Amino acid sequence: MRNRKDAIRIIGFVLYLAVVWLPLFYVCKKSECEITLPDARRIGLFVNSIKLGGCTAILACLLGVLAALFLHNSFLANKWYRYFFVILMPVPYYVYALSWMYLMRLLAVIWPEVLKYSAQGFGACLFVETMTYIPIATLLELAALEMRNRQTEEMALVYKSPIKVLMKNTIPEVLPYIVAAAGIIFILSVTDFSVPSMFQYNTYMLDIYSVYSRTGSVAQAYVMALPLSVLLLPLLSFVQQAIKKISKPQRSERFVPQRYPMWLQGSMVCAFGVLVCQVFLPILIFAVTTGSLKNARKSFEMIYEQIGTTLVIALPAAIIAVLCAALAAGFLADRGNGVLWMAALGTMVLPGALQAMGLLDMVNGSVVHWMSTTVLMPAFGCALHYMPFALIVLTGTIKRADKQRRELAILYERHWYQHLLLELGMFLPGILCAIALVFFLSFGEEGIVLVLMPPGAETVSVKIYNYLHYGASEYVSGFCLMVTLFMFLIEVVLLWMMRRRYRGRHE
Amino acid sequence: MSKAVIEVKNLCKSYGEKAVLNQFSLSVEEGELVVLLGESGCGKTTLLRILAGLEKENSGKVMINGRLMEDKVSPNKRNIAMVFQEPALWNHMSVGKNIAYGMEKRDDKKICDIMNALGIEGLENRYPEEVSGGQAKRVALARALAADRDILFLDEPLSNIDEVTKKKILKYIDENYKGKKTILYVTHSRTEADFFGCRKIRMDAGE
Repeated sequence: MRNRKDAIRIIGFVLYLAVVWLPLFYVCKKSECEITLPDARRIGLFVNSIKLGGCTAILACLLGVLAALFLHNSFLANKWYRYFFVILMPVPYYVYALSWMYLMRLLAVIWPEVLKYSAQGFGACLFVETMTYIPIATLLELAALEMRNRQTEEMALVYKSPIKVLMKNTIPEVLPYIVAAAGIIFILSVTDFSVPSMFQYNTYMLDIYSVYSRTGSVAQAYVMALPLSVLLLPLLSFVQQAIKKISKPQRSERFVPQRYPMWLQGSMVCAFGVLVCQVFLPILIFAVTTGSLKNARKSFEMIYEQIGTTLVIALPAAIIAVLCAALAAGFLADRGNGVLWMAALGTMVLPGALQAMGLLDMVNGSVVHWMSTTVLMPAFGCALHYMPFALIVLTGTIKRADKQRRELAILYERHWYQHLLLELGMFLPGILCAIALVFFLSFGEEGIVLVLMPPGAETVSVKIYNYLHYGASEYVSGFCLMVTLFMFLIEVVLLWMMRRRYRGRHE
Repeated sequence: MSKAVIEVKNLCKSYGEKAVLNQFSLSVEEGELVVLLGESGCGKTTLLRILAGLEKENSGKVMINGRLMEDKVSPNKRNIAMVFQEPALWNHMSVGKNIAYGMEKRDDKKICDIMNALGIEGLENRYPEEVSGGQAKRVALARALAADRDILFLDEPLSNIDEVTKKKILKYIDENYKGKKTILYVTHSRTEADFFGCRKIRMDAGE
């Protein structure tokens, strides 16, 4: 019985690996590419990418830790709406970048001096990317703080001052998660091309796309991405370490907030202020730059069809990604070692658009070539790229589940489906989180959609992208406002539905 | 006449509608060991947590060493050591480091003596996840004893421990700490409650 289950899990894991790596192997086998040594310009671009990714990761994590500490230790602790403050995480980053560009323009009207500070280059990119990724850092670090056994913190407080407890107990305990957050942000920042291209900051990723445009060779683009992948893979080991350390949460529901020194409390309030600005300023800016209610209504009329198309892509993408990730999650949670983790998460470091090109090549050369002219294609592309993210969430959920309850489920099992239903119930929050994560990421995806979208169809990101280059800016603002509000609405409904689960017993 | 080290007057605490402590009063003298008995949920743990400053009372007064314990007196300044119902060990520190945590200056001989007395010798370099439930519980007790604070709050410190070891530890506490430290001892076990031959307080619905 046990052996059969193990065999099923191994097969599931192998299937998952086949799905995520197949397009890459197909393309590399099929196309020819030329390996050349990088010149000084390319090395410079590589350094630019590392500099931007590194600074963004450090800054976002620092602010994220402080904001998470505030949320964990203030009047907001244990309130179901504490996660509201990381709500803008799923808003596409180019939408977010636009809001900050518009803010600069607005400020220039009141205070022309602001134009002296050019909203271009490294500084602007760093600012926008840091603001974009603060919610991810805050979310991961808040989750890490909440996963700790709070009684250990209380026990430490009996012997040491709050600041010493923070430095000697709290930070070392959540350090793997902080490093994992930094790793994920670094990977996302380095593989992103939209923000650097908006702010005219040359990075290695932009060079990869220009080489692809010039040569038309996907394999060549993959080869160019190789040094980046080699650099990013060790970072994934931190992500894997953090997942390994996940334990069952044991919160003390009646926790009394700690009194940190004034300087630290001040920094925590400031970081929380930045997080609040990060939520409200874009909405305010888009509302102002849209100009009038008439423009807002017109924007809605122009974009609701694209919202529908995007939903048709994002929802299947989320379901496909979670189903495939579920094949591997059980095996990884029980038996995962460093090598297996690297194999499972390795594709995370590949730029999404490159994976999409590989997928397109593969599908076009197969019996299912008809698929390339349907919206299934971008859905598969998004699913393929975001599968490792779903895998992280699902594996984390399985590891967080009480082992004894799982063992009891096996003990009392009468039919395999009874056991399956029980486990599904136990893991449901994680499954829903994984679906929501892939859904939101796919909803805002731009690169993959640009490569795989069938003729005549358009998603919101493509529409915004087109209008940004050829349309009126008030409509771009209107579209961004609609997308942000739409995301907002979905999240508020989701948070409200899950409020029972995520609030303290003694609230 | 010994002075009262712990004084609690008309303490009230409720969670929502449910009152856990209702006008509870208590006085414990210096060097006294008091056993708190009562059914689950009658407020024993809540009382210890309020005294330790880990929780805030709704009304009433708490005085430790003649000083009124207001909000601003943080737990580490109340001169207490504590054992929770669960071991609450820090997983990123070895057992030895866990035990030494509350000491002003690490004293390896003292740590070794306490570990020997509690039957957990040789575990210093292991990590909490590498010890059994009963051993973890004894490490938690060792941490409280090693801290050398004047007041000890022991919340079911010997649950999960076999009878032979339990008796050995009770004897060790009786010989080395009774009369020297002020101890509040929470238990459900009649054997443990009777062992010390001291004052017992039965708590009933927070009164």
